[in-house]
Amino acid sequence: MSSINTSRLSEKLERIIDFRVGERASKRCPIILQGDASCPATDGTQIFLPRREGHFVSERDNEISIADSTAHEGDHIREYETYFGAEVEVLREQKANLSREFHQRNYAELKENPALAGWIDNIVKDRRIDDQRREQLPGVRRHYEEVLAPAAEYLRPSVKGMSELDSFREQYLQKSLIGRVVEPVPEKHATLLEEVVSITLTADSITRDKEVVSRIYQLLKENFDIHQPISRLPPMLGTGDHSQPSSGQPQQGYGKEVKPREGREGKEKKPKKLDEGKGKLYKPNKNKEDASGNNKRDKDDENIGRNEKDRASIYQQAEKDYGIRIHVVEPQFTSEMAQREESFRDRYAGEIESMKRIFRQLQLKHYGEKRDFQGQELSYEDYMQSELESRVTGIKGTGRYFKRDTQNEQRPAWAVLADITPSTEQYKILEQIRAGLFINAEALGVTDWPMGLFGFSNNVLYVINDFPDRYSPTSSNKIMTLKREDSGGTYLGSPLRTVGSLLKRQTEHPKGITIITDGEDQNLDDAKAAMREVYDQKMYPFLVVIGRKFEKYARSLTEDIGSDHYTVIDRDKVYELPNEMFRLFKTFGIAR
Amino acid sequence: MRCLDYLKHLGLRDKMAQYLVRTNKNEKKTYILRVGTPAEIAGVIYSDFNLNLGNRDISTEDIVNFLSNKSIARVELNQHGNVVAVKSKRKDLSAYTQNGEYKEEGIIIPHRKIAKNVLLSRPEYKALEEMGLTHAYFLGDRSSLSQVFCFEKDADISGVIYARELDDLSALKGLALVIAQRIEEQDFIFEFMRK
Repeated sequence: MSSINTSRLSEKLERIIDFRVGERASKRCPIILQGDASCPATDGTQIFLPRREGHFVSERDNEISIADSTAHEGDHIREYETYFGAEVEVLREQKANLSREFHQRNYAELKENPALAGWIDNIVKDRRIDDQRREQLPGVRRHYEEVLAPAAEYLRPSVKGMSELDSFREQYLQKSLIGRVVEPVPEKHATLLEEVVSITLTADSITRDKEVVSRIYQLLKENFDIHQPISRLPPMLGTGDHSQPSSGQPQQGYGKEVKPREGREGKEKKPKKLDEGKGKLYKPNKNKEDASGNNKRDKDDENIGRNEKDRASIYQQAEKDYGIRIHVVEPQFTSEMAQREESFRDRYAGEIESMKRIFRQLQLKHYGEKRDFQGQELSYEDYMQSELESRVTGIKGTGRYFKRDTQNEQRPAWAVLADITPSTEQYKILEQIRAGLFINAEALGVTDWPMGLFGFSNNVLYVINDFPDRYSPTSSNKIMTLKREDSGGTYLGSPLRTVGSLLKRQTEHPKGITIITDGEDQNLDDAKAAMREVYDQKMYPFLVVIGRKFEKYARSLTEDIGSDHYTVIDRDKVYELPNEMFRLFKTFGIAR
Repeated sequence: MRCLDYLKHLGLRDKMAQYLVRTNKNEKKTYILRVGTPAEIAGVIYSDFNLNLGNRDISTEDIVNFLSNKSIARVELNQHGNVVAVKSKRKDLSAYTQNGEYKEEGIIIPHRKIAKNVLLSRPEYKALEEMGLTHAYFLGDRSSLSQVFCFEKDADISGVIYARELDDLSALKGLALVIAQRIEEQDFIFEFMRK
């Protein structure tokens, strides 16, 4: 089985866009690569393609399949350009979604179920453009007959167990796009199906779509209860998504005016993945209580109270164990603090935004999806059956043969420990450390990874944000408020051990501690030993030293655990901190 | 400044024969020019190798004499494992294969395809950027060609062929290299159109 990387074919695919849409069309209609499992789609300007294609055994079949999908979406764009004429430039300047614009102009009166109207429109358009392309291009027809059609049939779902409307929709899709129905059509709907398909065949140009779609919609309205929300059908191979009206955006969920299907709340498109970022995996039954709504807040309040009590006892224990005082920083919502925060936000807006984007992508890429892991119990029956079928048909199966789908449990937990000792007060280093803490926290805050923010000075650990707390405006206010309330003295050892003990309690993996400091420690040996201890407990300490002249301290502090555990940032380049952080993430396999 | 003028200082121009292959989108033709004073047309192909709907037989194109319109050679596209093959009197003059090999009369010729950024990193080729340099081929002693520089501007491509011998057959051999990338990029379209 071989899947191909779409980006490798980008130049060839651009040629196809030029070929189908018009000369230099690839410049105005760029290809946007989406997730591996996404469906080809278009918004009338951009073409969205999956990053990888791997439905077929042969690499060439996969390549032709993605090429044909590009041609298909290109044909949609050509039709929209024909329909809107000169207006298309104006709409594109306004960044309008041409597909949505078409729907709004033509199907606004089909109010009972606009999603259904959009879905019919999709079928009508796809049938027409695919037929035309196959007629014009013998190679496309051959590929369709030999490869796509058998695969499409194979991948269509059974209508058993579907509602009457869904079952009819599925069979209408099959008959229109594949040319035949896989399962027998119920007698009472056979004539209707023939009629609907024959109406579909009359849509020979985009200008006729409104009339054709309205007629089919009316027929469905007369024969089914169309007020029910339509459910998602799997996408038709090679022609994109048929689960919903063509919004032009891949998988946007339900349209605005359509209610979600039964069993789901309006605002809840997908089940929650994680329970408020506290590190436990989502359990489907857990949300049942949420539906009632009333008890939830009370329970949360109870939990908060209990958590605070738990936390206090943990702090007491840590104070006893490590001979340290733990001071929880209180927020100060004054105008001065707000001003200071605002100035930080303005100064580092670019860095924060770019890093937020990276972290957001990382989170989606690595930590959200369901995955099968090696080592889980394999369902041999499914596996053998799928292998046999794929050998006979040449069509790749889903690849999910494990008995249990799990969520990827790899979520990092991160601590940032900033040095606020008197040595940092010279040359405005403290201000830069605060900036570093702020940028770091803002960038990490976009994820739901547990994050701890701490300061230390003279055996006092200042808690800005502990791991169970979500990063919030209060946290950023505390960063601004952070001020030493002791006599000073740089002792990294105890604070690091304390943070390590708090981090160790987290179930997430991997665990890391970013230490932002100027590197001057009054008990270097103890600090070195603490570094080694947390490292031995499988927590990665990373030392970020601000100021080139402190490099020798950094080197000696990390010499026991490896030279790649520290980085030096020039005083005037503190904005490089998030990039450094990201580099460290990559180095240690947290982000790839 | 014309690219040929610029390439003078490479010291090759006086020793070697130069040919220019240039497509013309508006005329839908490709010209093979023998560079000199004046330049002479060594051959014409009635295609700019840009595929559009309605193209006639896409698998072969004749190279014809400009004056007599008689076929002097033939270009085969995407056939028998070759991206481009130039044939004369039923013999393969040159071919660029789908594996990226370059053959002259059936023998694989060692060559290096140099990308634009690599070329532009060398000062002597810097000025070729504004002329639309895309890539170049450097060929070994076994070839009758020395270097082929390929350019692209708008929808037209051109290639300067440096041949070791003043022989139009060398230009025909170089043609395979000049148009190979254009044909490769349209690989899927050929596949779509193939009957």
